Amino acid sequence: MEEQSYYTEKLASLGTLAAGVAHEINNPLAIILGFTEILLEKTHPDSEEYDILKTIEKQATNAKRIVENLLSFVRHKEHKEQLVNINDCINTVLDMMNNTIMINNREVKKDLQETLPLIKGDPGELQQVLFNIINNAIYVMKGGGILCISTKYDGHWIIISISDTGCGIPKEHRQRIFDPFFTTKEVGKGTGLGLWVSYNIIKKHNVIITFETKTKEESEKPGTTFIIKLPGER
Amino acid sequence: MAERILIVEDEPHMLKLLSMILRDKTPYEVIITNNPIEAVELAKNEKFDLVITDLKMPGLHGLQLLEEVKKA
Ligand SMILES: Nc1ncnc2c1ncn2[C@@H]1O[C@H](COP(=O)(O)OP(=O)(O)OP(=O)(O)O)[C@@H](O)[C@H]1O
Ligand SMILES: [Mg+2]
Repeated sequence: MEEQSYYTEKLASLGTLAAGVAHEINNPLAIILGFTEILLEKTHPDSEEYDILKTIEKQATNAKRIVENLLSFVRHKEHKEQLVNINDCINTVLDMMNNTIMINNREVKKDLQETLPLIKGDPGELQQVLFNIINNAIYVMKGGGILCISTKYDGHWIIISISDTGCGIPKEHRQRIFDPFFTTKEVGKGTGLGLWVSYNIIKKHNVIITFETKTKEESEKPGTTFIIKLPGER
Repeated sequence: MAERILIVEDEPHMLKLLSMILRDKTPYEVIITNNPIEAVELAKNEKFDLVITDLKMPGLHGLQLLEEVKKA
């Protein structure tokens, strides 16, 4: 009990610290990116200088993404609850990501139950969770695959299932995927904050998130399924 | 007469960046200051069509600054 409150406190003060640091970093990053853009316009695209400026832009953009991810969690943005139709959230996110999903031989299979009860929640936050999970799924299906998204209501829970036919998550990583900064992506490609942010949003919504995963050593059909269960009272 | 934009920002590099972008990309006349108090003085004597201001600045908060400018 005591230990837990110690950790909560420690997390809270880390949050405050992170928010402070993030703000201090955001301004210099905005300045770096802004001037880089100005110089890019004045530089010939075939020159070495242009490549260097592009590198500066890319690295600073990566840093900015990390800061934004951190802030999106610690900022305690007002959590605005309203009645939400989860199918609408899913369709919004899929529309937004459509172009990215459809390249590289990826296919989407959607099976949404038509009459779902509405749930109380923050649609922006729920979309962020869906975005992060779908984003991870398409990342592991770079060479093609099938993204299945389904919703159903079992009289008590609304169950969202998002599955991919990617590589699966190896045993030694399964405990860690929700940890902040845990990533297996190349340096600069991922922040390792996607699932952590999602998990923290989900906690606020009294929701259960689980996953099932099989690597190609474990199954002929490797892949990962994330299952989100929301209480759906009619 | 061209429309006039006043930029108020205490961080000198951000001020320079904003003014460069606005001067490059818009036809407007851009006037800058790093001091919110001076901004109020400027607004008393001249007319601006748009004020772009930082919020946290020593001396005067951006929102107070806007109130003062509107009064002037
Ligand atoms: N669908 C999946 N299939 C296989 N591995 C996954 C899947 N989803 C998550 N992971 C593993 O969990 C790690 C953490 O995921 P998380 O979304 O938190 O960060 P990230 O995707 O690495 O970075 P970012 O979200 O910033 O792009 C990933 O790097 C990956 O190793
Ligand atoms: Mg991710």
